[in-house]
Amino acid sequence: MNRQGDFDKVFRLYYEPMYFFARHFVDEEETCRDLVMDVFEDLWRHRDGVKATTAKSWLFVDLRNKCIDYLRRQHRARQYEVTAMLLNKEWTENTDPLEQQERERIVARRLDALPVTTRRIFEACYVEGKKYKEVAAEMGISVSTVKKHIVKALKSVKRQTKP
Amino acid sequence: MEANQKHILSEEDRVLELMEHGSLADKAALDALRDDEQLRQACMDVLELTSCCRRREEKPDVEAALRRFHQHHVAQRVALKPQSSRRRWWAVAAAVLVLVGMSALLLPQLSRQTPLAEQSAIQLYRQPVLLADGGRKAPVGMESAFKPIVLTAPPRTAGEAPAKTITAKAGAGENSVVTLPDGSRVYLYPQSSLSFPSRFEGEERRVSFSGKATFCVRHDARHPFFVDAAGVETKVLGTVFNVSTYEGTPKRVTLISGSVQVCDAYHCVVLQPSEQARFFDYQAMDVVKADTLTYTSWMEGEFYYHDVPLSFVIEDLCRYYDCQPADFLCDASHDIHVSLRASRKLSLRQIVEILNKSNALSIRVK
Repeated sequence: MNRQGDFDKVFRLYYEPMYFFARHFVDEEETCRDLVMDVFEDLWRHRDGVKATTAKSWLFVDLRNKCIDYLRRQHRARQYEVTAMLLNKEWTENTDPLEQQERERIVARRLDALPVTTRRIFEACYVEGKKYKEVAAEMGISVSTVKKHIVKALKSVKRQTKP
Repeated sequence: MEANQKHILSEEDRVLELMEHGSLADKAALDALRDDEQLRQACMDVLELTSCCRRREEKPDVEAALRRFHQHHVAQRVALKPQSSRRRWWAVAAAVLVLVGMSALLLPQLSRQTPLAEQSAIQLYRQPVLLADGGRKAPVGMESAFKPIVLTAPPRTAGEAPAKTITAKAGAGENSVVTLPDGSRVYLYPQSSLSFPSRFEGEERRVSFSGKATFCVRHDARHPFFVDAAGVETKVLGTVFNVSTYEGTPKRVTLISGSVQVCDAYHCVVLQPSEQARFFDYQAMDVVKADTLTYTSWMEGEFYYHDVPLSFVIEDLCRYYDCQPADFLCDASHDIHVSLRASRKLSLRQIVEILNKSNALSIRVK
């Protein structure tokens, strides 16, 4: 990748999907930005040996490794075993992050159709990262109600995007 | 509804259990996840929806990140230009020293360099540079010999018309050699243009230029030769080098023999033979080793490429033969590396034939 602009093109194309990929593993925004930059540092060092066409797999595999290394160093590896298993090596290598990004954009529009409470509960549990009990207590509802809302959110979005 | 009776967990329950924040899944649950494709998909849905929600709040600034990234990558050897106040100080000091004619005063800086007896001229750099980080003065170009300067340029004889600017252009498919007023020669590649005065006056010999050319500059230490090209200034001390500033590629200066100092608005570096300074966007630059055979072969009437991307070769061929990259029909990707050695006198079809034979390709030209 020694033509000027090839590196920049790859950077611009994959920076965002890489950031959100890292966010599945690591909760801190700044750490994720740093991890993504570290990956691009690696790419820069190896740029003469990496082709623009295969850069994608290279980037995401490197990023995944860095995320897991980071969590191990923080002694938090166990918390992310599920994520690591879902976003495993095979998935990482074979998924097109741009298609993924496009899908997420479509789903995001459907989010607006959800009732506000449902969306808020979902976000509290997964984006803010609270336990179901916590959210239930905060909102003055039962845990099973919280769970019902989550299931509702998942079902409605899923139904609309699957063919 | 909350039930006290135990029942087999539905898939929904299992998903919720696995995906709850901070939960530590036990081995059984992880195994189930590994084997059950549907369960995995359901959990992936949670991840996907979570990402969607995040994107509303978190918007990473890609351009800012790219800028920051490149600002890190300035070659170690490359010196940052000094602040303008320092520049003035240096210029004044040098002028004073020179006027007084006491080259001995320069000795402390030159102590590593050639002894007084061998010095014949001091080169007054227009851009005194190399205050590297931390304020250390790293004198660049001190490798070249120092000779005492001639204080005044030869006066213009009365009645001589002022020098006018000449522009030489090479169109698509053209090469030309331009001989400058001092005897230097410039070999222009296709789609290049060179501007120079009909007579060099003053202490400097200056030309400006765009495109690609190889310069063979006559040595004259008293009159340093400068090439201005798209914001990159190459200062020459009698030497052979190539400057490439085609649009859409990094600007490159490659030294074949001799010594040059290359600067843009932010950096300066002195090149050794076979080194190439590359200037990218965002003030990024680096220095790499280059194969000078490609440039010297050009001057001898040949195309020469060794192990370079096919796209490079096609671009150069298009400039030379005045065609478009789309005219080349090729199964292989343009990223593959190829080699080529052929006389420039051949036709495009002949060149492509040689390219095919040498690299086991089957390119056709429309």
